[in-house]
Formats: sequence, C-alpha cells, structure tokens
Amino acid sequence: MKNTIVLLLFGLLPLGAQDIKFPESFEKLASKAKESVNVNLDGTMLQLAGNFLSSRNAGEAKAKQLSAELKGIYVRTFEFEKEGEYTDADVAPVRSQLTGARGWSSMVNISEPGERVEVYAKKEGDRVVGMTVMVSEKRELTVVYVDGPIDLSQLGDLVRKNINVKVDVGKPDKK
Amino acid sequence: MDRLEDALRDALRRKEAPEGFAERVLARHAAPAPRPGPWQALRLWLQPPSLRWAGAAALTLVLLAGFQYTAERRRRAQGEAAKEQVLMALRITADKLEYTREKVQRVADLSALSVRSAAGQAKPANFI
Amino acid sequence: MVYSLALHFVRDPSAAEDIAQDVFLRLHSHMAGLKSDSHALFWLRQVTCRRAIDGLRKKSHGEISLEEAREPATAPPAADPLLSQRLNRLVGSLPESLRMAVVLRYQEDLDPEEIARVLDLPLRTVRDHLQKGLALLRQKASRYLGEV
Repeated sequence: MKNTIVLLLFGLLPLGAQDIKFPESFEKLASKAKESVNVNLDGTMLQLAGNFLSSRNAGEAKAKQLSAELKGIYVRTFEFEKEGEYTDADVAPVRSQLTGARGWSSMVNISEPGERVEVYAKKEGDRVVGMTVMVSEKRELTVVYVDGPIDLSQLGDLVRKNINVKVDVGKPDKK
Repeated sequence: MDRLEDALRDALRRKEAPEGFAERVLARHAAPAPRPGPWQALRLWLQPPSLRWAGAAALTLVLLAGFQYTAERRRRAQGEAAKEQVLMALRITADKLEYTREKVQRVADLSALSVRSAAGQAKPANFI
Repeated sequence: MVYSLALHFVRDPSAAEDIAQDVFLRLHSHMAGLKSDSHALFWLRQVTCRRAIDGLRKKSHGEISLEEAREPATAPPAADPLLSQRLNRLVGSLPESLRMAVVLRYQEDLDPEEIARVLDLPLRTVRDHLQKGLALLRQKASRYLGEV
C-alpha cells in the first residue's frame, strides 16, 4: 500500500518571482511514488517559520540563521517501489529551466549508470543567490530549489547535528 | 486536492473583524430601541437594563475573544508546521549536498588515479 | 468567522460589518436556545449566511458577473502576488447560490453535508453548486494558475 508522506502545502506553487517551477508532468510522479515529500515555502511562510524556530536549540538556531534571508525553499522527493518508475525525460523540464535561465550555471554534473547528481547555482557577482540540487537515483528522485542567498558551509552542520524532524503520514486525498 | 482548491483556501482564509467592531456592536445594542409592543414592554420592564447591556457586552467580548483565540491557535499551528517543513527541507538539502560531495570526492579520486596511472587510459566518470 | 463569512460573500466591508453586527445582536436574544458550542457555531454560520444573502438581495453592489469579468490584456506573469485578491474577486462574481457554498467550503472547511445543513438545502444541490462553482472559477482562474 502506498504510503505517502505529504507535508502541508501552503497555497499553490509559490507566487513570488522564483525562477524554477515544477511542471504538472513532474508533479504527477507523486502518484507513482510509494513515498513523496512536497515542500513549498515562500518568503511569508519562511518568516512565519522563523518566529517558531528556537534560538535555544542548536539545530533550530542554525536553521533560523540559514533561512533568514531566503525567499523560498521548494522540495520534491519521490521514492519509488522499483527502478524504472521515472526517466530522465521526467526531470528534463526542470533541468531545462536551469540550463536556460539567466544567472544560473552548472556547478556539478556527475552521471553514473542509473544515477545523476547535479548542482546549479545562481550568482550575483560573488554571491550565490540561488541553488538547485537534483539527485536522480535508481529508486529516488530529489529536487531542491533554494531561492535566496545560502551559506553552503552552514548547511553541513545540519547533517552533523542530526536534527530530529517530526513527519506526519498524510491522510489520503479528499475527493 | 488541486491547486485551485489550495488557492481558494488561501484566498478565503478567515479575516478578522475590523478594529472597534465589538464597541460598535455594543453601541448599537445600547442605542434606543424602536417602540416595543405591550408584552415586549412588560418583559423589558422586568429585565433590568444594566443586565441587558452587561449580558450583550459579555457575550460579544467572549465570542470575539473566542474567535480571536481560534485564529491565534490556527496561526500557531501553521507556524509550527512551517517550522517542521523548514527543518525537513534544509535537512534534505544538506543530505543531498553531502551525497554530492561524496560523489565529487570519488570522481576526483578516480581522476587523480587515472592521471597518475602510467597507462593513462582509465576513463573517469563524466565530470563537468 | 461571522464577519469573514459575510465579507467573502458580499465583498463590501461596511455591509459585512452591518451583517456581522446584526448576527451578534440576534445571538444575544437566542442565547437561551443554544445547547452547546457546536450548536452556537452552527447557528452563527446559518444566520450569517441568511443575513448575507438577504443583505445582498436588498442592495445592489454593481458586481459584474463572472462572464463579464475583465481579463487582462495579456496573460499575467506566472509569479502573481495578487492571486488571492483576484480569486476573491472571482468568487465574488459567482452567482449567489454557488458563492455561499464555495465560501463555506473553503473558508470554513465544511463538508458538503455540513454545508447542506447550514444552508438548509438538499445535499445533491450543494454538491452541484460546488461543482459548478469550481468549474467556473477554474475556467476563469486558469490564466493565473496555469494548469489547475
């Protein structure tokens, strides 16, 4: 039985001036996935979240610091039961926005049999003001788009601090 | 649930009553009523005016406070949910970047190996 | 909730306030008949809806119909920060019968059965209203929302 982890969706696909959009065809991968994560946090929600991130908790304080200047964070993760549930053609519409968009450049692009790792960054002068990470594995596909300035060195701390995140299994969609 | 429905929920979110609403309700309640019929007049005569006024005031304030409390509770729930999402999103980002770093490191090691190799024919993975 | 329901329906803040004031004043005289919090909430929703519908019928707001709603000369950019305002306008231009069902569904998150009880309508009618309302909104909103 499909087990879908669906976090709250706040409104539509974000309405700010973010560069990257997830097309309908890409979103439909969720229906094939045994688990999916869907996060859309625009500037307003990030600000709201910031009010609830505790400065007394090391991990939350770090998250608060990282997200303070961001305009948006958008995540899609699909975990499939078996290989072959998605193809590169499903990812291509997202990739094409990055390879065509002004200011964006590829920083990492590693292809191995059955896997591909891509990192794109948007720079203004010396500053990174956007980042997209796409990891295509045999049974898992993840795209993370971060809109706004992000300090990559601080992100590593979040892995090391092993933040405990509550995740609720979502209810089936209401028809 | 589709995007239009999400957008409608957002657009039709409850709006707070304007400032001074409670006072205006009370003022309206306290305003002279139209001339009552005889039975209504008798009922009004039996009910002390101060209680009438106090009752309406208490009721309104309790109701408005109740609804504001609900709005605050909802805001709090939204904030907590947003917080969990931020933590989740950043954690996923960090995990994937760590995965990327390991891949890059492996490729770099392989590249270094192929450069050092006397045969020089080892083909590293595609690395742009 | 009361003010908000009225506002989303009549789309006129001062009319919405009048309606909300009326409802609270009526509540005072009906307090004795209310058996619980949920009964009170039901009563408030029902009376607000009735007052809002009556209020709208008595007063002409000069609203334009959904079909007449002007579309922008060019398709708006995908990133539209005024989406909520536009959707509100579109909801406000729905026929009354559809509009109240849509507002109760998406402001109050009521199921069709609950909406039917509040509006004292058959369930089938409410489902029909919701379906038609959404279809109209989807048609008009597609420019702002892309594929919906």
